[in-house]
Amino acid sequence: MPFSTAARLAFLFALGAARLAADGPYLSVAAGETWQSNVNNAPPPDVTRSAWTTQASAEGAWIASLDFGTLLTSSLQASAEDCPTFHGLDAAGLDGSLTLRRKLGLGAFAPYVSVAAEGGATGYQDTERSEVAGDLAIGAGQRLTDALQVVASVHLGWQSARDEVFSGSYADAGLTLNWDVTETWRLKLLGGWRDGDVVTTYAALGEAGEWYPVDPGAYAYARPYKYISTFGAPYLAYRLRGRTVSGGGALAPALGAHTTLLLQFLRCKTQGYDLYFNNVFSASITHDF
Amino acid sequence: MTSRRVALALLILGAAGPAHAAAVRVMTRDPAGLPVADAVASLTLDGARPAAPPAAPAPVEIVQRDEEFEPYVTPVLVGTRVAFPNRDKVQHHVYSVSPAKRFEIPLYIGDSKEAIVFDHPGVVTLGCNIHDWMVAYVVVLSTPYFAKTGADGSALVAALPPGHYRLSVWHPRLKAAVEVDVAVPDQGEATQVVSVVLRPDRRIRRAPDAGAAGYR
Repeated sequence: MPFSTAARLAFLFALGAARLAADGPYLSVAAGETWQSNVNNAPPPDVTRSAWTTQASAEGAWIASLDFGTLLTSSLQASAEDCPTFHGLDAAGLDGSLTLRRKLGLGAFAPYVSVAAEGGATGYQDTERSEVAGDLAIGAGQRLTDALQVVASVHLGWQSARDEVFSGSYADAGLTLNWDVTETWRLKLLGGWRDGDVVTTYAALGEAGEWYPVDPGAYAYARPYKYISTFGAPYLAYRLRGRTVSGGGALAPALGAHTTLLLQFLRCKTQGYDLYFNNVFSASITHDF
Repeated sequence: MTSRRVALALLILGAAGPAHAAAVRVMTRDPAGLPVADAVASLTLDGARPAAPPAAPAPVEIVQRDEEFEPYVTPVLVGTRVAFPNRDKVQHHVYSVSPAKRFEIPLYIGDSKEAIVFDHPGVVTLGCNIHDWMVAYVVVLSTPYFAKTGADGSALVAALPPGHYRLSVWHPRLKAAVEVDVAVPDQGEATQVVSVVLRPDRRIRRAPDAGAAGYR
């Protein structure tokens, strides 16, 4: 585990201390549906499985203004996911974050930079996937006009699951262009890159205790793997190093001053030992109290 | 401020009014004939030197409530003291970088410790450095004859000495103020209809930026 007990305790203490002189809590809730075309991350010619997932979350945030341009935000979020097709992916999680955001100047057109520490725990119905995870994030944003804003982020993350196949580390970067066509309608262009551990599944043949992948090349790939029954058929899940490039767009109409609907499409291409794709469609609604 | 394209309909009602005062009712309309609120109408006597403002114009408040400024547009006479009480539970950082008045009131809740004296004429744009969508305007005027239009697009400028005036109509979405010559009679109320062409209302979006679960 990359962070010592002392570091994790310091993070929790900082979360608590940040609330002492802060405004809040600011509460928000979100709910949505996601459909993935390749939820099992299988490369062709293995069978890809598609699935719907319902998500819901609630977050409380405390904000302290350190000076005219610096905000310290601590937050706690509880979330739950339900996958009716593959109940092994049902999950519930609790996450905390501490974010320092600095605006470099006065006014809406001044850029901002941020640094955040995030951590949490997620329990899956397939308990071998249950994990604790954390990441460090660096972000920046710049409003170009009243209607146009660019936001960038970089994460260095890790997850430690009950089974090593679902553990790992990664780095990712994302770029978002927000275009407010009107005060109500926002268009988002999304681009992302991720490099690190991925879980890729290969159809398995054999019987209990003697499983081997249909793809003989994967069998020769000396990485942690295990038999899983999550997707209703025998699969071997491999922990591999992979690079994912994603791109897409979203429509985010404002439903009043405190509520946003998000309709998003993301296409993800992962090159691990093999190449595979995943198309992710999602619809969600977020409300700030 | 320069004159712009104006569609002018002058109606002198000549209604009987108080014998010692004249007034001008300014009615602002957009090209579709709909009333325009939050327009500042000010009248300056032609050829007169700007009059010295009253020794102590009445203080004014611009409140922060629900993470917005209230009111959106505030006309004041030069020398007016403006307070910025914060009625939200969150701190605000009120500022302006407008040449007519640059100031900052950093991070407070409740009544601010300082009120700001607006001592130069001009338009002052207010913002909050924490909540980018918050915006308001203070229109600082040298003439004491001014009023702001309400939801009906109407503003009454009263207690006017008779004479020839320059009427100026300013609005945040006007590229430049509209100016018209107006003759104010000895008594009664004159009505002036001013048509204005407003730019689209573009403010920074306030609704939360949602992010759906991405690919994992």
